[in-house]
Amino acid sequence: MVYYKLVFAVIFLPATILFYQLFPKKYRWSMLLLASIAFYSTFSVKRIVFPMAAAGIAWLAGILLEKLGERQTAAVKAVRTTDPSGNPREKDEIKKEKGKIREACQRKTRIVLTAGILALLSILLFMKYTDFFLENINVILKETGSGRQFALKNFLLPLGISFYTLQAIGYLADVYWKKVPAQHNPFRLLLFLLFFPTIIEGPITPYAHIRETLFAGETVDPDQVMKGYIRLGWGAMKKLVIADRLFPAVNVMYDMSGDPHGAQVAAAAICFTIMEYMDFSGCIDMACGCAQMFGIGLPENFRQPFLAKNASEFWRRWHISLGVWFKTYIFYPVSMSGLARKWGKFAKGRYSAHLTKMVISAMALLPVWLCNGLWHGPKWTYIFYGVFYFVVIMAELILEPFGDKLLARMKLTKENRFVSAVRILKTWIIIFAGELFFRADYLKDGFQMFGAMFRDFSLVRLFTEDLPSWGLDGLDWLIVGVAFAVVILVNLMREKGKDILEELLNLPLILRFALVLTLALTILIFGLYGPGYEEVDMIYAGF
Amino acid sequence: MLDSEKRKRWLEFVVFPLLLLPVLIFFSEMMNPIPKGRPDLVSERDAYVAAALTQPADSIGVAVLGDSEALVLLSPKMLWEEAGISSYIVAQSGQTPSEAYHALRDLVKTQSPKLVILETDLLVNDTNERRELIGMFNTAAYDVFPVLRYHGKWKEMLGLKEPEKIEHYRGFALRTDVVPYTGGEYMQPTEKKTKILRSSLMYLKRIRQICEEKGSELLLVSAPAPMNFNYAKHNAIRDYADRNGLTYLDLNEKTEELGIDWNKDMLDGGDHVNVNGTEKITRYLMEYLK
Repeated sequence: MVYYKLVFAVIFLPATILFYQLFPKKYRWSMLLLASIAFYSTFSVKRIVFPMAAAGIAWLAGILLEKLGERQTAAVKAVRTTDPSGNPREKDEIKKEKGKIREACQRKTRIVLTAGILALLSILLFMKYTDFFLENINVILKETGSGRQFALKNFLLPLGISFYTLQAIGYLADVYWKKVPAQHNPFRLLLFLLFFPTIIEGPITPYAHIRETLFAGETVDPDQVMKGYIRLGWGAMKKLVIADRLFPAVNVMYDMSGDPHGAQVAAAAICFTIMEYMDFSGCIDMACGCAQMFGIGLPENFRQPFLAKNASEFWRRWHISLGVWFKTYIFYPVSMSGLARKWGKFAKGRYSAHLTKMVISAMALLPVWLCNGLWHGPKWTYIFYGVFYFVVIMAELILEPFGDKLLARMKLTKENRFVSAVRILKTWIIIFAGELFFRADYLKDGFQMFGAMFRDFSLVRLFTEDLPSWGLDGLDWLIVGVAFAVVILVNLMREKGKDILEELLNLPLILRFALVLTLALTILIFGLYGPGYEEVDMIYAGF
Repeated sequence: MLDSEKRKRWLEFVVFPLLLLPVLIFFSEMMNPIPKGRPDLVSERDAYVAAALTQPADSIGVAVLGDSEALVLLSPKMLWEEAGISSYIVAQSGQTPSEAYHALRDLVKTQSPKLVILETDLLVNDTNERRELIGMFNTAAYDVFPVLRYHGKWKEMLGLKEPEKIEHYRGFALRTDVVPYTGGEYMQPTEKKTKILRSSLMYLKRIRQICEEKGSELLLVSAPAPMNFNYAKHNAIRDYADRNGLTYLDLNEKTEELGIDWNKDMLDGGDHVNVNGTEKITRYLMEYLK
């Protein structure tokens, strides 16, 4: 059962809302937990032990971290300010003793934190990357002439493992940093990880963001339910009408058995990017809509990413929750690490401030982008995708002062419309190039396609020879075009700060009904679902 | 107490579905190709069922229900030409018991088959109760609102596109590929019994009831399928058949009698028979039905 299924929208959700409302306020969160378990069980009953184990680890480590913190505070407080004979002690001496206590406690908390994170990561790494590791070992063994080959394990990934593991790690780090108190009820922590709107594709939600509303058990508000359902429908439209319609075409376009030419490759990259955006953002819309019905606000995962003016900004607008996670739990800690500080001290006076900053950025960004690539899956194409963005973002950071000087010389500013348009266009090229490798089956295919982009760029061949073979007729393209244009329009309105859902609710009843009915009929008639259609899995659910 | 604004908003939740209902009914009427006698306006999966439902009244003597195993179980052409038996394969790839029931329920509105053959794979395949429950809900929804089932053919219905021609003869699609089965003996006797899902039993009961009401005989048949059939499944169906006084014909036990050649008669390495296998089964059934 997924969010865009009829049974989810007309049975599961209404039933959950009803029982949630009927439960006493104090226990409403447990209704959400039951619903989340039921939802997960429609995928697999057995594999629910994985999120349960993650919740258990996070709960135990969180409690230990809190206890150690309390012990540290108590021990520091207990430091005597007078000596045994009642005379006041030296301030430095007291400070030193308190420092020693803090250091000893912090060593223990760091051990607990590391153990907790390693336990969580090891499950993820084992389940997700064992075969990747074995495959590469096998290649090395083959190359070195060894006859030995390891059998692949073919583990079935537990649903949402890449998402809830990051949430659990983030929770532990936040408890360690004392940003949030530890959750004492393991079932509440399980709900945080297993919450049915976020379990499939996120957004990766920080505990601090959700902890108040998730357990508050607020009374269901009809406005929120209506907004939630509209957003659910909007997401389903993006997925079923646009993304799934483009799916067969993208598959044909990425078929490298023929002789791909420039325009075909460019079209493949553009179509896949649109498909991926509609699929992923559609799922996030559905997830946010579902959570909204219970008065729970999830972090937004997309903020008009195609209006970004550089790659860094793109990642602040695309899969925001993943970017925020890497920034909070990898980029900042590495930037503030002893190594970065040592470099800062060493470079001061020796090198320019720009170079010093660039080296620290590179130190922090490399692990971020390697992890970003690896997080998407155990494939070299994903690792390359991460490295690609590392190189692009570093290049942007290095070249930024030169670009600024060039603009100043041309008496232009970054805010100039023409400059903005050029910068957006440049970002599109970066995005499409990245997606080319991201979607490619193998790295060599990605390079082959990338190379092909620069030869025989024939739009005539694209429209006369290729287009008819993509499995979509003119009417399909028309539907994709119109629906996508509506999405762009809504995105532009959101960019201007308009709350579309709020405005929709404020419309006259007839107009509101007409718009909702149009959305429902668009999905009903033009959506690709039901018998005769092979279901297209949500792209990020596989990560 | 709810304030009036909230009350109004909750009221909208009642009013909107009520408004949506006639719209759904309208589109369902408009897009249902069966009453219009247009079986070409359905997806390939539903094509055989739709074609069966639009046959002239009382023209089907033997109806075959089931999943892809049923699609290649017998050749209606051969059965007609060599034994004068009019048959139709009312099957779907991946047909569920609830779909089989709905297909038969709709079929008997215009047909009175003397024999209903139910290929048993749909009772013992690797599904589970949860998936089956969702499937039941979907089938029921498609039944009430056919637009949910047939919406994909809107271009053909509006005359904007020529319907795709699906080649079949009374539900039988000729499949000539040959991929031998090399796995050896697969019907190892055992006391084990595969569990037939409760939902499947419920629909099987309904199918039996329809057959009783229409005076049709219900015959359970298991097609030779070494890749997905085994003795535990045989035991489950045999047990059900015995308890309910049904005739059960397991062709997996009779592959020698049928003359199945695993090198020539399999379509895909042991999951389905090809046209050679179908002919052998049809010949056997012809004798059996006599």
